[in-house]
Amino acid sequence: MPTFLRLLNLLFIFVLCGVLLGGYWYQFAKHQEPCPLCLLQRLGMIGVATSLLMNHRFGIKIEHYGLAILSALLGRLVSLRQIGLHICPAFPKFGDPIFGYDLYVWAFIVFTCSVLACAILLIIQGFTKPRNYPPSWGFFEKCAYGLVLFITFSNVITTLRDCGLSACT
Amino acid sequence: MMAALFIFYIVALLLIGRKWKNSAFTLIVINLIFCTLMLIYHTTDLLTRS
Repeated sequence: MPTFLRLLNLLFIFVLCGVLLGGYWYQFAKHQEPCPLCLLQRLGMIGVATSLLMNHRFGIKIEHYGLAILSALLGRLVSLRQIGLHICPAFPKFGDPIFGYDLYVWAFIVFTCSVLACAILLIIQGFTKPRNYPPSWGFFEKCAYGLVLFITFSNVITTLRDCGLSACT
Repeated sequence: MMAALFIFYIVALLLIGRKWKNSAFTLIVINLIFCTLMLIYHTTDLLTRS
């Protein structure tokens, strides 16, 4: 796998992990419990990160980017739904805004940037030869894998604590 | 049920670790379908607390 594409993929995963950890900081430091739609947005981000991890484990493939775009589109739809819920001035805002925007607006921006980043990575891959990239599973890839696994596992714990086995209604 | 969606991703990640590509890929696709169904459920639920 060319180093440049590998680095971009890794950077993408770490940025998503940073956003998810930021959400955790918001949850525990500011005591803002996540709503069901927020959890679905987290699922979308974990989906994008997992799809990109497949690029490292199995080599860069178009289908992995396709899966990442699908996950990002789903998360984008969830964010859009939540923006639509709170767009009415009479409807109360959810949580404190960060840099003037609410968290679900930031999630919408993150998902839009994810689709854009996947498109750019696909274009770069199309112009790079050879097209078949072998997998690379070094130290940083293992760190990214462990981080995504840790974030997903901690989300299971907190979701079970908050919602139990229900659909979080 | 919401926690189960995260558990699906944990299983998919473990499958990626074991290099079972097709199983992991299929599981993520199934999970995305379940997430969509969950979104539809919350969208149609007027008592959603978001």
